[in-house]
Amino acid sequence: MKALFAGARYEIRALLLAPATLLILGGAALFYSAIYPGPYSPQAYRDMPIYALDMDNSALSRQLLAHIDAAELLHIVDRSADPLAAKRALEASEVLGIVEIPAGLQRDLVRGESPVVGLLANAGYLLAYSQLADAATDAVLEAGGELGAVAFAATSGKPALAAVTQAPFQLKVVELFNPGGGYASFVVPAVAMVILQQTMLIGLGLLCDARRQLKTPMPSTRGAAMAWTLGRNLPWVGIYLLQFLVIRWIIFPVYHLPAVGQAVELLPFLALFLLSVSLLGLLLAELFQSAEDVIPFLLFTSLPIVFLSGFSWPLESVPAPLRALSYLIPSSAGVQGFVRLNQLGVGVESVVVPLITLTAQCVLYGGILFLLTRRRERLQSLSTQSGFFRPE
Amino acid sequence: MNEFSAAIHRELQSWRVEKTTHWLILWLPIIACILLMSIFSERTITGLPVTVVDPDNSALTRQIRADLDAAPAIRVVHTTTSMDTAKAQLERGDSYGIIAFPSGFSRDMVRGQQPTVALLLNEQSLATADAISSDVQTVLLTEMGVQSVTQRMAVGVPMLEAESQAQALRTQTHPLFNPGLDYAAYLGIALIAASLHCFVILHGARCIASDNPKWLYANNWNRLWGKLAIAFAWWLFIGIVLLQLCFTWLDLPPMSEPLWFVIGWATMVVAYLGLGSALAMAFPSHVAYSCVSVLAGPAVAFSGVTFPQGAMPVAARLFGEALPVTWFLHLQTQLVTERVNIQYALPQVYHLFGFAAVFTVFSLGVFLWRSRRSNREAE
Repeated sequence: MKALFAGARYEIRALLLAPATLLILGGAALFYSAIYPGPYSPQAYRDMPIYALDMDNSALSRQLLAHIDAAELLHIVDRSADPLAAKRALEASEVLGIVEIPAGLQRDLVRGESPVVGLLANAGYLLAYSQLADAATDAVLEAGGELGAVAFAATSGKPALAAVTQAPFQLKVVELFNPGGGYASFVVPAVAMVILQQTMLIGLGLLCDARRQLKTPMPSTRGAAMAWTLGRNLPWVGIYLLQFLVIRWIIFPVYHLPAVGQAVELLPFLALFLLSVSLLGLLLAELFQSAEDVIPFLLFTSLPIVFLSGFSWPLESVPAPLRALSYLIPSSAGVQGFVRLNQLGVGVESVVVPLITLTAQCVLYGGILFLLTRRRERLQSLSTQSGFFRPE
Repeated sequence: MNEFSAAIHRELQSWRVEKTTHWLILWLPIIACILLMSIFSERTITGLPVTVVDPDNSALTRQIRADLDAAPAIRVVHTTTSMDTAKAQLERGDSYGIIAFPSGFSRDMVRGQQPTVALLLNEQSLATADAISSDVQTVLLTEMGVQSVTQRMAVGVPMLEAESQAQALRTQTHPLFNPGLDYAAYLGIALIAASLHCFVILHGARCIASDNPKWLYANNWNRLWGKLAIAFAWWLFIGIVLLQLCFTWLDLPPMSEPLWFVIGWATMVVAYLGLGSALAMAFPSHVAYSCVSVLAGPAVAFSGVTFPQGAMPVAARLFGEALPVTWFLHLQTQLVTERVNIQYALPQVYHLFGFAAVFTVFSLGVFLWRSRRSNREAE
């Protein structure tokens, strides 16, 4: 126990030598977590601007366009029968898509020729495209379904069967865990784990110079030395658990992000996740020559790490070597586990794999850190004996 | 040798000697590009595991299961009769969605009772939910159309008429500029440019922070110009080369206005070198690097690439618009993905020129302030 607290004291002494680092370790995660949900807080893109290219200009085409305009996600901002005007509006990014009603729509429908309504949308912005295409297609198919049912009733003389023959079975889409498909609810909880990880890695790296100024008081017996190594993580896990509490119980409610996880399950999981991050951070700090190297080396990693955590880009679509790499990154298991516990509200039995992964990472990173620290301590003692090392 | 050339020579020497600078300007950008390209190398979402709950197990549901399995984005990995088992798989992350047929599905359909097929999606994983929803709806709506025609024909409607009634209106979607709905072309190239901008601003800060202030501020601003000029030349070259290599790797068609693309990239590099150097002159190095990470870290979120700027609250939109990278990413999308004429992308270019001018003046102003302070201290 004494060795455990000695390890914690060692890290606190390093922090006192570089107190500005506390801004990163104690505030950066809160800062990022507070601003990150900002752009996504509306949750969905409503009233996406579209252009109505109405080549028919019939009562039916106007009715169809009114139906499309009534869709929650779409808003017809301009209409004409001029394809060049529609193209210009799309190229100037004034609209995201064009609904093209073909000439002779009403006539073709009466003739039973199933006219085609075109939807041209900018797939350069894939999220907006997918929502726009779905909403417009739904609106057209719904209108088409009503017209088909009316036509059937007229030709068959069996109006009672119109609805059944139009849709012999129904499809009900149930959106679980994030009703409405909110973008902030999807992104922010997962990114919060990446933010916790990246700020801790950078903060612990920035202390590398301070640690080198201190003599490494690693106990000589193996058990005590391991407890000392573990103890070094206590301040960081503690500080980050406090920040997590603020993020989960203050920032999430402020942005109305759904969160159903219970503290009794979340906190032990987060403690394990943060321990894994802390061990990795202390290990990486051993490899940095100077605190000035930390941000250049770690800043760019955030984007690939987000996409290797499997929430925004499925791991099934990631090449096998990178998928294997993701098992070495604490945030990958952290995101999987936290999202399931906090957003899906499932029990611990559903996060067994992330728990095993994080535990294995702790053993791996803790073991390597232990060996590296012991090696550094030996080098320091050799240097001291030969008069080259002067601890402050 | 004049001060300008001496500064360039000194900067080049530091690139050779300092390992971190070496990594920052060459190896890390290359690694970042390779990593991001590799992550999106599949280009589209495919093979997402889904579970089918099929207590009916009729010829029709087996046919639909086969059709679902053949859909590009999904893969039926579990078929069960128990909803509880399917839910447990969804909660464990073993599957991303559940397609549940009711018991007696085929019988109820023949009886005209309109049975309901449920599609349960884990919307906490939005991209996968969208892909699954799209494929499942395509399969089921196609099957619904077939059944609709069959039932209409059964009550005496001629086949052609039944077909036109089943699909009174058809839709045809045209995904413009990105016909394959390719994530690498949409997101990958944006992330690469965003990663490169992190290195540019960091290098702008490091140029100043890693040098001796007494040397830097001792003379007029030729030394500052020299250091930033060589950094600019390097990033103009390496940035364009890396971006072009990525576009070639992705087999993207030639962009519409290559010269304007280079001009856009050059002005962004000027802006970020100016900003990074100004921060490093105004603050101690670790504070400058922290400011850089605050500005560069969340830039993608505010740029409108992942979530449209039109939908953002005003404050978030203004913050995004205050970042040069936002304008460059839009310019890149317009010229590389949409391949529009430059007249439609000029607002982006004007903004980038504005940022380049503002941050260069800012950098000069901070330099003058530091030089005067340095001279006073020397006196």
